[in-house]
Order: sequence, then structure tokens, then C-alpha cells
Amino acid sequence: MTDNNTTQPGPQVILDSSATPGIKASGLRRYFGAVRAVDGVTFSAPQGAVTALIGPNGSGKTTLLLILAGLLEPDSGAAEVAGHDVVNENREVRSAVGWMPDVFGTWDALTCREILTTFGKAYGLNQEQAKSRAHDLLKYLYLSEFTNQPARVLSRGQKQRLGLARALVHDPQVLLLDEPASGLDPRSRIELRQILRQLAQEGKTVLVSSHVLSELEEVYDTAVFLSQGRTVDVNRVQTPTSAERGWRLDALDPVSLRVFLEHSDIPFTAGPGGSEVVVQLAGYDSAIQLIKAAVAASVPLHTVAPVSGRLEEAYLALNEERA
Amino acid sequence: MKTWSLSWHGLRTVTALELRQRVRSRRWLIALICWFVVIGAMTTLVITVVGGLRRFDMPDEMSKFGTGPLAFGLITLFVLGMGLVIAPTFTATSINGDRNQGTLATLQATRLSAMEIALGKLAAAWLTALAFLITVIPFIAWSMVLGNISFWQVLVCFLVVFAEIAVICAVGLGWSALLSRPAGSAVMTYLTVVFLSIITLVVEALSVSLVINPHGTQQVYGLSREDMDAYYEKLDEYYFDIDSEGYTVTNPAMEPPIDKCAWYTETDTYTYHTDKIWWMVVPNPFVIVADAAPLPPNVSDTMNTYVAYSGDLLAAIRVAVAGSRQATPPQRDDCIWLYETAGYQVITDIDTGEQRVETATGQPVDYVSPVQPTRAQGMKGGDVWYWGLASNILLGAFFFWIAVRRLKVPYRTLAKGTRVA
Repeated sequence: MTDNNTTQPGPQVILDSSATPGIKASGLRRYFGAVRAVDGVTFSAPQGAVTALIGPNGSGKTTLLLILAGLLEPDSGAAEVAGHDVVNENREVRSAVGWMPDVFGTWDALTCREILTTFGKAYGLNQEQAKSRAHDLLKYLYLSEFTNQPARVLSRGQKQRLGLARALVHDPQVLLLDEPASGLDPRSRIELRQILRQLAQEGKTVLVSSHVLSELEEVYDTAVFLSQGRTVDVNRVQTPTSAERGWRLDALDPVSLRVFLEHSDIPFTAGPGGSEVVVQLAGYDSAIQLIKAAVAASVPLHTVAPVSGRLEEAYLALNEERA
Repeated sequence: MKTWSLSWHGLRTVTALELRQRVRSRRWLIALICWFVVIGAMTTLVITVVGGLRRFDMPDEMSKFGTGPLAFGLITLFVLGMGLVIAPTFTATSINGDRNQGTLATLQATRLSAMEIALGKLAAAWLTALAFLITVIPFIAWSMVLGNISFWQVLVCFLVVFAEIAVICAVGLGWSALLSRPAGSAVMTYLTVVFLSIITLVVEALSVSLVINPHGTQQVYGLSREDMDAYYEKLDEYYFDIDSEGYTVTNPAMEPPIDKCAWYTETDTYTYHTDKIWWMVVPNPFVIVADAAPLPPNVSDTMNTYVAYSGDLLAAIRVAVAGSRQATPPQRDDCIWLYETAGYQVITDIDTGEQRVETATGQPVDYVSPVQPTRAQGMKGGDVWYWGLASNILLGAFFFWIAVRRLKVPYRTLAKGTRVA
């Protein structure tokens, strides 16, 4: 059914097809006047997995997340989040969802802890629970030193982490993160990845949209592609395996690699890594042949990888389709 | 519907959030200090000026009311006026401001209902308004010291002013939910205040010209032109021997020729039908507060006398409104006023409007007016403030309802030019 809208499982396969999906959307549509922000979205995001939501600017990612967060009513179609209908069981949906918008403000006058306890209470926690939860989350997201500081002193990346803490304050079953990595430094990005993986392992449903595809590449289990407000059949846009694409090669002895390529009449360019080279290969078969030949020629080859990740390939394919 | 569900926990969370933000921002403190200083300066000025006026020689009738009613009336109306000016700032940018700052959607995404968010914002505004009103208490106490102000009067005025400010807070909340730009909703809230407190007056004043009949007729009980001339001639000879104070007639009162009084019809006279338009000022906050204010204790004179001698502005407004409820009556008793020219007093009962005549020393005179008293001359039973207050509360409730509707998630439609987040 919805499987053709998702790619193959990513690096960490924990998909259980029998598990009820954390998010299930079918035929979602939402127009703003003449703008068809979401125009036919069907997908499901499994529990205990990170689902990447990918699409160019204006493809409807934010609108889709608003619908799933229970803030926007779809014109047609239906969505279930954590087993509740987003329209008819709106409050249950809001209670179960942690939503982190792409742009959000914080109340200037409040300290980080107060912001988190306020949200905790807004989700129905009592004072004690909200306080201890705020304390834990500030520690978890390395914001402890800002506990009693107003949020306005935080840097963009720190604000982003506070936003994530805010989304996590009620220990939600489903997490909807809109561009969570924007503004984060590399270290924070790695930490974010770890957090997302950990949440998925705890059985939560995590839906992440991002432009930073390399970010998602290492964390996602499944992916949903959006183009012009529609979920796209990935198999259709996936680059055909026979199409030429760049591959990155590297060997312990770079010279022997280059000699081997020159002998084999394979054109190459210097790669970004100094000793690396990039060659154009038509599909996996060509890559396998090249590896066999190189090994046979005793080239100490240690890296063979497509230049771009799977997501990036698919993303670019989406853009091509758009053009 | 869940939109309207309300829990104490949720309400308290939003109210605490709003108050905390407000209390921490310096702007609020500055506003409170300015408010205190302005009201304090105004009170000092009023009391000083009023005290100065009262140092002039005054007949006993005037001085017996003291300076309290005038000072209290001025301070109450000034506090109301200032309150109406600052109340919009409590809520008029509350919802669209939060939306623009990106803090509204994250709050809407929680378990909180639209009702809890709206009521929490309103409650925070109410509490802020209360803080402003409480700072005014010293000045009101000061005017109480000047005399003739009852605690009851202060309490009623305080509560009605508070209710009026709360109404404006609710109106501001509604506008801030309706319009996307804070500047727009602030302007609309101020326009609502101006409409209620000024436009209603202007419209009523202008409408008076529509309800004047220059060719009206009135039945008059009084003297004919000839008899009147004869009487005044006689009066001149008889009785212009006035004491040094210029007020009291020293000669014994002469009997006015009331036996010559008769009914005649006055045609082509101006008659006023303000009873058709008086209600226009009923929703005016100043009218509401003035009309709701109880009279000071020990007022037994007619309202007209009381207003003239005490300078009580609240009572003056009340008399003006009560008077405008009355069309020019079909009958008029000119005869009773002959007694006044002859040194008697005409006394109008404060409750019923019945008129009777007394000698200067307070002896009753046997005169029964053939004209039925009109209600406007008395004061009781003529209260309109609860209609005004009810209409204003209804207005506030309507705008509050708009605010809740506009905060309801999931959004079906979005206000023009707004984003969810």
C-alpha cells in the first residue's frame, strides 16, 4: 500500500511490519487559496523508527507537519497520529505529539527552566513533574548552565536545542521535527542524531524534515518524499541503476590506483579527499566489475562509494522531475 | 466541544505565563509608575483647586456638601478615562503579537484548549488592571477624607470601573485575534473605546436636532400675559428690599396670585423628544459609572440643587441622562414657580419628583400642583447603568467568543495574512 512511497530501510533496520504505524496519512490535501500546499499526501511512518521527510522548498513539508501536529485541518483526506484522528481526536493527538516548528519564538522574559516547566504544565504535568522533567531535559540537551538564564541569551543552536527540549517535555509518542538541525554546529548535529536514534529505539515515531540531507542520511530508517505537495513514488524517481553517477575511490596506495585506472582507460578526476579519485560509473554492475578488476590488479582499494547519498540522489531526482 | 473545555490547571498555567512575562518586562513597571504619578498629580490638583474654590464665601447650602463629592467624582472619572486608555495595551496585541513572535502555535499545540488560552490571557489582563486600580486607592481615600463620600460609593464605583476595563480587555483580545497586525488591532481597540465613550455622546448630541418639534403644543397652568405683567409690577414696588448678602428677601412673603392661574394652550412652542434618543449614551462607560455611583449619604435635596451646590460630576451626569429620558411633558405648571419669585421655596422630592411649596422658614404651604410629577425630576427608579453595563459585558463576551473561535485548533481557515507558525 504505502510502501512504494518509502525507500528501503536505512542503516539501522528495525522495521516491524506488524507494528501499528505511529503516523498514517492518506490522501491529505490542504490548499491556501490558490496555493496547493499539500495536494495528496499518503504515507505511513512506523513506530520505533526515524522517518525522513524530504522535499524541496515549498513542497508542503511544513504544512504537512502542521496537519499532523493537530494545528491545521486538512481540506480532505485523513491522518492518524499515535492512533488518533487529527481532526476528531485533536486533543489526544496534541497530547501525544511533540512538535518542533522550523521557526519559533520563546518568551523573552522567562528563563529556560520556566519555559520548559510552563510547557510541561501546558501538557498537564503538575509542578513537581514539570520541574524535574525540565531539569532532566536541560541536562540531556547540554543546556544546564542556562537553566536560570532567559532564553534570549541563547545562541541560535542553543535555542534550537531548547526547542527540541520543549517538544520532548511531555515524553511524546510521536515527534514531528521541522528542520531540527538548522543552526546546529557539527557536534550538536551528531548529538541530535544520537537523540533521534535513541528516541526511535524507545519505540517512538520520529518524523524529521531537513534540507541537510547528509544529516538524515545517517539517521533515517525510511523516507517520505514530497514534491509539489504530493508524496512521490520513490521507485519512480529513483535514479535508474544504469545511469552514470560519480563514485568515490580511495586506496592505501593512491599511485597504484591511478595507474590502474589509466591502464584500464577509465577517466577520473581528483576527489575532494586529496588521495581520492572520482570516476563515472553506470550502475552497480559497473562498480562491481571495477572492484573485481582492481582487486585482481592488487590495488589496495579501501573505499568505493557513491559520491552522493541515497537521499541526495533521490532529492535531486525530485528536483529534476520538478524542472 | 473541546475548544471550550476549561480546567483550573490549564487556566492557571496560561495566566501565570502571561503575568510572569508582564511583570518581568520593565515596560509594565514604568507604565504602573507613570499611572500612579499621573493619577496622584491629578488628584492633588483637583483637591487643591476644589479647596481653593471652596474658600470663597459660600452660602450654607453649598458648603454643607464639602469638597468630597466634587473631588471624588473628578478622580473617579479620571481614573476611568485613564483606565480606558491603558486597558487596550493589556490585550490588544496579545494574540497577534504572540503569533508574530512564534510563541502562539507552540502553545496551541499543547493540551491547552482555546478557551484556556483565551481566558488565561484575559485573566492576566484583569489582574493587571486590578493592580492599576489598587494603586489608585490612596487617592480615593484622600477624597474620602474630604467628606461626604461613603465606602459603599467607593466600592460600587471601583467595581464598575473594573468591569468596564475588563470589557475593554476582552474587546482588545478579540481584535488581536481577528487582525493579523498588532498595530491594526490596537487601533481598532482604541476606536472601540472612542466609539463607546465619545461617539455615543456626539451622535446623541447631534441627534437632538432631529427630535425637536418647533411647532409643538403644551398645556400650561399659569398666568395670562396681562396678569403676569401686573404681578411683576406689583412685585417690583412691593419687595425689592434686599439684605446685604443679596440673597434673602427680608420682606415677609407676599402671596402670589395663584387664584388667577388657569390652563391655557401654548402653540408653536419648541418641544424636545429626547426620549427617542436618550438610550444612545447608555453604553457609554462614563455614563455607566456615573449612573451606578450611589449618592453620597445625607443627600435629601432635589438632584438639581444637589448637583449645583456640590459640583458632584457623577450626579450631574446622572441628572443629565435622566433628564434626556423625558420628552417635553404635555403639561407644565408655571404657577408653582410664582412662589419662588415671592420668596418661598419649591421643593422637589428626590424620589418621586413631587413638588411642594414651603415658606423660607420651612412651613408647608397648601398648594397642590395640577400637573402630575414626571419621573426625571426624581432620581430613584431611573437607573440605566445596569442596561449599559449589561450591553458592554455582552460586547466583551462577543469579542471573547471571537478570540476563542480564532484560537481553536485545528484551523479550518486562517485569518488573512497569518501563518499558523
